[in-house]
Amino acid sequence: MNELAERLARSWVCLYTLGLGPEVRAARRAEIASDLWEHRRDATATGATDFAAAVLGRMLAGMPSDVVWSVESRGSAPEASARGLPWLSQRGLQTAIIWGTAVFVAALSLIDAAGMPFLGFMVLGIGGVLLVAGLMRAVLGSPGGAGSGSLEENRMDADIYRGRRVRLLVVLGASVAIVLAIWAHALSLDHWGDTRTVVFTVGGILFPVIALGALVLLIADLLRMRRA
Amino acid sequence: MRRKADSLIPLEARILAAGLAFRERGQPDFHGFLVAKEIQADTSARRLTAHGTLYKALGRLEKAGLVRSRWEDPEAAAHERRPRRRLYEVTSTGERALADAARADRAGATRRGALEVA
Repeated sequence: MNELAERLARSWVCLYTLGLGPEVRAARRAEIASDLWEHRRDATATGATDFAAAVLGRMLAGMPSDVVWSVESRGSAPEASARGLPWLSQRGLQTAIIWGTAVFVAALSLIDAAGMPFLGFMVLGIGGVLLVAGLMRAVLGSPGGAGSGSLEENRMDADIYRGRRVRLLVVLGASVAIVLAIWAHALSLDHWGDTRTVVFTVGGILFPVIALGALVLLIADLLRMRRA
Repeated sequence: MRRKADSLIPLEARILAAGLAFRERGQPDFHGFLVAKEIQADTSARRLTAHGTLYKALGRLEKAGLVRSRWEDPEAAAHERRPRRRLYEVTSTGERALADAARADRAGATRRGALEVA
């Protein structure tokens, strides 16, 4: 239980520091790792039995501050956030979306035609993660404050906005295409089984939400571009 | 509620007070967990300060120049087979800010007392 609590706390730090500059990210992760270590040593020394609950409590109670800190850190370092996730480059985002779409279609085929629901759900899960990662990258790559710096900085901001607009359009297009594909497939069905219901419910909720998120961000960017 | 740029919120004041208490005990710097323990003991709180709240407050204090931080020597950490600590120290500006905040608190309490009497 103690291990699990520590792992959860570490995972949470990894999540909210994604997309931050490498130094800020490494510093926060190292600081929390050190805190957890000291906490565990203290619990061992004092014989405290509620270490796991204490760690989880500290993690949960601090989540709002973590999120605010993460957003503020992005705003104060636009050059860092523009670089985004090191493992998911801008080209990688588009690849992720294409692969996400491909695995979703493959999952549908596996579940429906080949009759392999377990494998299909696994593929569906991977596809969902890839697509959500793509959207997160689009959000995390948000530029800091356009129009606030020198001419060169403003030009860089404008380039970041353009890049982000392209990414959001790709996310939006992929989501709409998937929803249309789901509808087309659903209309061709002779009967409506349990597995299909789950697949269509997941797809029917996930992709419109992704598309709506991308659309809102796209409109916000266009408005900010116009103002800048 | 937006607070004044030069004012301290209770947690920030507690961190600075804990840092000064460590210094009085001959320990000039402190790390995050240590200050969380000190605050817990000082306020008789049931729980330690949350990670996010504590490190965000420490970051704010550092940005305002009220504390400074450094990462300890990696060899010291390796020798004790533990992760490196980020060590904080209260600056003279932090010391003054805490004294000012305490004065402002006392003045506020006196004003409130006078109003209640009136």
